[in-house]
Amino acid sequence: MYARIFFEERDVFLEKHWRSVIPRSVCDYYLEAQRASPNDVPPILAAPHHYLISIQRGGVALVAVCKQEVTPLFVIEFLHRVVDTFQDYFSDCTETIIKENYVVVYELLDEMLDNGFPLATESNILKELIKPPNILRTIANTVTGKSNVSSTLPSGQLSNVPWRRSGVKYANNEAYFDVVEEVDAIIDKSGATVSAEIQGYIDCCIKLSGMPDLTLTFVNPRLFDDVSFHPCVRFKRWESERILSFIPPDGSFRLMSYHIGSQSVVAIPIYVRHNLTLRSNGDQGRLDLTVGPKQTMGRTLENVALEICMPKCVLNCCLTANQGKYSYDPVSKVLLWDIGRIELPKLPNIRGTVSVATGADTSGANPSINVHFTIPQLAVSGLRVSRLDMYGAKYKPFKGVKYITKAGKFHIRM
Amino acid sequence: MSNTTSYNNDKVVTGEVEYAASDPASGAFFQPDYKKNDDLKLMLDGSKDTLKLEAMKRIIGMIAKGRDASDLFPAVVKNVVSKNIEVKKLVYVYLVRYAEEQQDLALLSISTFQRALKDPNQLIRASALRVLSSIRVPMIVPIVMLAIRDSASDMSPYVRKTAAHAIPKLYSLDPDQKEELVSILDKLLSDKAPLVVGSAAMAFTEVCGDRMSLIHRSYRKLCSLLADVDEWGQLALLNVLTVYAKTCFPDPNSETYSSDSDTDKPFYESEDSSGGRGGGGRGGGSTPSLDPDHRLLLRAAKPLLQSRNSGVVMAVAQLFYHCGPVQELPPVAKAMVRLLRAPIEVQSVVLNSIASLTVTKRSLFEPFLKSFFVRNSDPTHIKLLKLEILTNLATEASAGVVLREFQTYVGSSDRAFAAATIHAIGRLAVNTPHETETCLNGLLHLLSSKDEWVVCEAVVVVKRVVGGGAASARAAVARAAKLLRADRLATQARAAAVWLVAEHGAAHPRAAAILAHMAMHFADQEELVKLQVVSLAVKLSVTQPATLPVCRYVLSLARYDVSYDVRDRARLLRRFVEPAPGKQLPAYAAQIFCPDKPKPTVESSFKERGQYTVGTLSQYLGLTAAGYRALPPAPRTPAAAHLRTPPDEHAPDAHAERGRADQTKDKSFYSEPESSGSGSSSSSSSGSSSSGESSEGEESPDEKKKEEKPVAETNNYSRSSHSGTSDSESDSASSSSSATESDEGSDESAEETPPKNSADKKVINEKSKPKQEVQQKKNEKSNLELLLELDEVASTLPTMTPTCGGFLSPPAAPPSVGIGDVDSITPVGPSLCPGVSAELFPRVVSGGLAATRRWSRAPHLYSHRMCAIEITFTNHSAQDVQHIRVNKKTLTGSRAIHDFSPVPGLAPGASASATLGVDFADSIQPIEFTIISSLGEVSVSVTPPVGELMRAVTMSETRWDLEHKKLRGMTECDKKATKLDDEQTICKRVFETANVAAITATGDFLRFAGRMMSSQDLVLISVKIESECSRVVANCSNMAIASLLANEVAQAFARS
Repeated sequence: MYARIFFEERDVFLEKHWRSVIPRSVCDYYLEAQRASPNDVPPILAAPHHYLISIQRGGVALVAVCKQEVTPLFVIEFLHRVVDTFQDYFSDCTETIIKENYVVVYELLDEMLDNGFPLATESNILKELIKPPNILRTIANTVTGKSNVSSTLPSGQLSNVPWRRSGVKYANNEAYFDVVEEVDAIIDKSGATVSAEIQGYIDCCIKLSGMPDLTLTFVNPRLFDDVSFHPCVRFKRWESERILSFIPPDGSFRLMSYHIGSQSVVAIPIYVRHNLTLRSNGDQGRLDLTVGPKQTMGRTLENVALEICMPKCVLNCCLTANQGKYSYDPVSKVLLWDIGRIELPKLPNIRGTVSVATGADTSGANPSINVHFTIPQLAVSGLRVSRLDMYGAKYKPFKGVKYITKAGKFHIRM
Repeated sequence: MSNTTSYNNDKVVTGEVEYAASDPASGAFFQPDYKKNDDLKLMLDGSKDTLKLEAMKRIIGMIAKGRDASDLFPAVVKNVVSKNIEVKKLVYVYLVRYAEEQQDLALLSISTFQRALKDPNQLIRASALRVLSSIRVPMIVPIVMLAIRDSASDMSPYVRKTAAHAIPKLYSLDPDQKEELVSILDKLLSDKAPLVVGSAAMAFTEVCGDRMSLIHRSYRKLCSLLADVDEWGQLALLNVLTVYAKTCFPDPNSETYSSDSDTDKPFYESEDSSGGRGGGGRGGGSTPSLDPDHRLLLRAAKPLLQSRNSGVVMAVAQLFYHCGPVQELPPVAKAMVRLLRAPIEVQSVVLNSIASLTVTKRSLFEPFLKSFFVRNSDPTHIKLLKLEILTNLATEASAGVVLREFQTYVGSSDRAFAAATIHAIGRLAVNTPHETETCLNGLLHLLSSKDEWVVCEAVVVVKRVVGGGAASARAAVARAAKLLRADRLATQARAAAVWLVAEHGAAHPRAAAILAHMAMHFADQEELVKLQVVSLAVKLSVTQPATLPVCRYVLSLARYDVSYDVRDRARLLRRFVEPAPGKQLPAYAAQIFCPDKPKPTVESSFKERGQYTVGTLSQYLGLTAAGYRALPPAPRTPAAAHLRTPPDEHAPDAHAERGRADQTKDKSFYSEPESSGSGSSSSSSSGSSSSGESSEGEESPDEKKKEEKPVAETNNYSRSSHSGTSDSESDSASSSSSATESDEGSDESAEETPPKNSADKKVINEKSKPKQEVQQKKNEKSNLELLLELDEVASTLPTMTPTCGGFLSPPAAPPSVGIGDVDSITPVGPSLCPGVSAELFPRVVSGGLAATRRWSRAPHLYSHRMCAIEITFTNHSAQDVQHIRVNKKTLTGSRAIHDFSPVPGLAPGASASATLGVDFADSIQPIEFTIISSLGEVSVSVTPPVGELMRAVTMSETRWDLEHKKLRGMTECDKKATKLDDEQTICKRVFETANVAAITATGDFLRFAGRMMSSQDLVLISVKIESECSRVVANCSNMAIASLLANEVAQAFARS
């Protein structure tokens, strides 16, 4: 459905064509939009004869050009999958890395897309078709004359479990589950919660031999508001019994993501007392922030960091913090205060003066604080895994579940 | 390193060349060197795989950078045969990119792919098909067609999937192949492997997205497979099924459905969760039952809302929104809201869809109001979309919450967003009468903002809101008056406030007081405000005559103002207040100053996006994208369910029934299956009327074929699935049956559809291939040497299908020339019998007996596949020669010799002739045999000229053109020849060379036709007379024949 994909970072540095060859100049529309507002490029642009669908990730933009009506999410989702695959292969997706591995990139793209329609996007299958590069293999290949490209069809491609390759063998059989919950919240000036939601994921790292069939049960599955699954999960059993039954892919993957919506009450584990006064008459403004835990169920807050995008009129900040470090970037007007761990009873505090440009308008400025934190060993929703059973294999695997709560999009309006 | 070298294309660094060449692992990504191509060529020509690989990597680098690497084409294409799989892959990549530009050279690689198509490794087969179909060279269309046809019935589902992918490629290359492709597609759609179905659905959308009749048969199977298909396939399949459901099922939300929506809800919920149909008596009574097939689709699609792929979720949403009952939408809304956690790009698209959904279905998203609250970190376009949604969602109940949010947004440093918020507040004020007062207050307050932007936007919005109703106007004027009194407003805002009073304060009691107040401070005001005050004074003097004195006072103040603008304005307006005698202006003052102004409309900008299908590009852009196809309107009555009954559930006679059903179906839904696009809308309106329309006459052969085709294919399908092992057998059987079938079909009309033709061809080709193998080794002078290899490759086909008993014996009993053949291709006698005879063996060899042979061009009595060779024996010896006969025959393949009847005796000096029948199996390989007589044994070899391997046939000129069209591409051979001025001479030369008949013997374009003796392939020769030379074109599905023939005819022309 696309004619081609470009990768770019200020300029086109890699291109691949499907269906027909389109001149590179078509990308100027994208580049122009990017120049106009680097952080606000609409994902779909209409050029006179083409439509440009783009994503931006890690400083690289992927632009797909198509000529016809297409489901935009289809393209966007695919482009993200391409980046995911690159990250999987090269551990990151940047211009330098793509340029270094352009041959593998080209081979991958060729396998992933045929005439504009995705062919193989499962990372397990791709890895069997094209081996990921690593130093050892590169040396081995130069010595033995073998290549990274496999000559046989991956077995998974044809089976009903295309996400798993056959003949997996491990000496240590392990299955790890990370229950990650992110709290999204908007807190208003007075400290009241405007909206709060929990977005959760269960990420797995499964290294089990053979074809294990796993069943994961929860203590309180009723919590889930809305869920989405990896294709391996059997939806029927979830519907009827509320358990996750699946044959896992090999390696790391996201088993499920869930949402605990705005209807249910969400515990807010942190509070920020803030006071910012700015005066337009050229005087110094004052800033005073105090952070404290709240509803943490006995756990400590770690990796706490506050990020404030100050109003344009603020020239500089001169602050003293009783814990952690702060930095202020006068160009982007971002004040970053890295606090770290909050140990009671001492509450982290930062205060000081803010210099304001003389004569600047300070009335309309209401910055907001982005808060980051993590709470280990806690799922803030109260979700608990009750047990994990395995069928279809004889050995006893090592099982582990880890809970962690993080700040998602946690905003405090000032 | 790559960073520094990648952008300096103009710099030539010679040192680096060697470095890159010697170190394959280096990141030599974009070597900026053009001269280097020479050493790339050297590397490619060499024998070392590592060097080749390195060269290919660098070439790929050039392509990736967008540089032209086409001049390396000849060097690269040679390596397509490389054993190293990685080199091969990269060559494929290169080939696909440049083949279109270098068509001739690209042909060199075709044979490799053809060979690979028969590889036992399915991955290689599939990749060969992928590349072959990606090469955009029109010449190879027939080959690709054949490859697709074969691969579509491959054992491996992966190869079948690739075949499905290849279909749209071929379609875009040559749209004429549509019908045949559709028939393959039909087969693929009924495939049982989930892997294949998704790709087939994709191909279906691209090739014939409106031909819903193809879906009927496999509809239920597609629904049940939906969950197993991979996510991209699900997406394509859902799109197809949405269109199908819209076409075939009535809208569940019309008439009866809406009435009992309240009781429905629990029923559907319970039904879905239990997964069964046990809804109980309660539900059965109260709900108007959805068509079971419709329900099947919805039930199959619903779990996909839980997919991790946002595209799939959106496709399900699209299905439910357009085809599902409205009660089942809430879970869909929930899933869509979940997508808001996805990356920005996904959010943008989803929010866009939600924005247009909320225009009509507000209640759906109301519970999720808070999910749309704006965060400072969102990019502007996301903020704007959320704002739009919030505005659409706000009701009397939630307006307060929304308004409070808006207040926060107004202060945003993002200007565009703040401005949009002000507009949103305006809309909110209009939509919720309760909150109008609050909104206006807020807006008027904004008028005093220091930010010009905000003020300007606020004025515009206030104007809109106030235009909405008298009550709001009153409030606005009161508020403005208060603000003016307090003198707290900035210049622009004050001007705006004065304007507001002037415009809407006509009847307001405080207007006069404001005027008085403003008049008092007139001198202190800014110019902008003064202008507005003057206007206010004049307007008020019209509506409230009591204020006239104040008005005069203001005007006189203005008259002596420092600003000439104000002075001019005052001068202009004074004429209305102080009428000069005899002027009529004051009479019209009321009309001029207080006309009825049209109310500004306030509505969502997303309103008109509702017309587009949810989740499409067109909806996002708000304009019809190229290739957008609107969903058809739902039919009033459901399409008959029996269409969807899979054929194997019924007795064989169900086929016939289904065929009939198909026919009526076609008529009612798509009166013209060929026309794409408009067909869908016109069709459903015709409803259930089954009577033939005026177009029936020309359609009937078509329909008939349609009726037959599915039958043949289902046979094939069910058979192959039962027997399993003998896939190929059933395949050949089915193709042969379709061949005979279509032969019958063509009784009716002169035109033939492509499917028949190639099926026909295929059978024939298969038969002839083994024979051609022998022939190959000899063809050395042909200019198409490399292409001839094709036949050799193709000849391996039978080894793939060892069980094919019917291969060599003619299964499709070639409609034996002359009798059975009624398709207006009729054999005729030779146009010319060559009188020349050649020496078979001289008398010296055998000691006195000499023999000459002549091609009599007469049909041989024993078999119509045999050429008749007339042999004349002459006895030059002094004694009687007795018993001349054929002794030993060395024959290969399916060649055959029918001996002449032995010559009992030949007196000295006498001569006798005999007729030998030889089946050359369409090859010019010589046949060898020995003739024995009383003088001894002589071995003889006869090499047939290619022109003798055929028999003249005649047909109509149009038929000739039609056949000619089918034999384009690689089966065509083109030769330049000497110009002969006389048509008769041309005909003569052609007749001398080949046993063909003239179809057109006059004019600039002469047509000749013949048929191969054994394979019955048509042979077409045309001679075009041009100004400088003449052009000989020979077409035959056996390419070797075509090329030889063209050569020989051209040589014959050169002979003078």
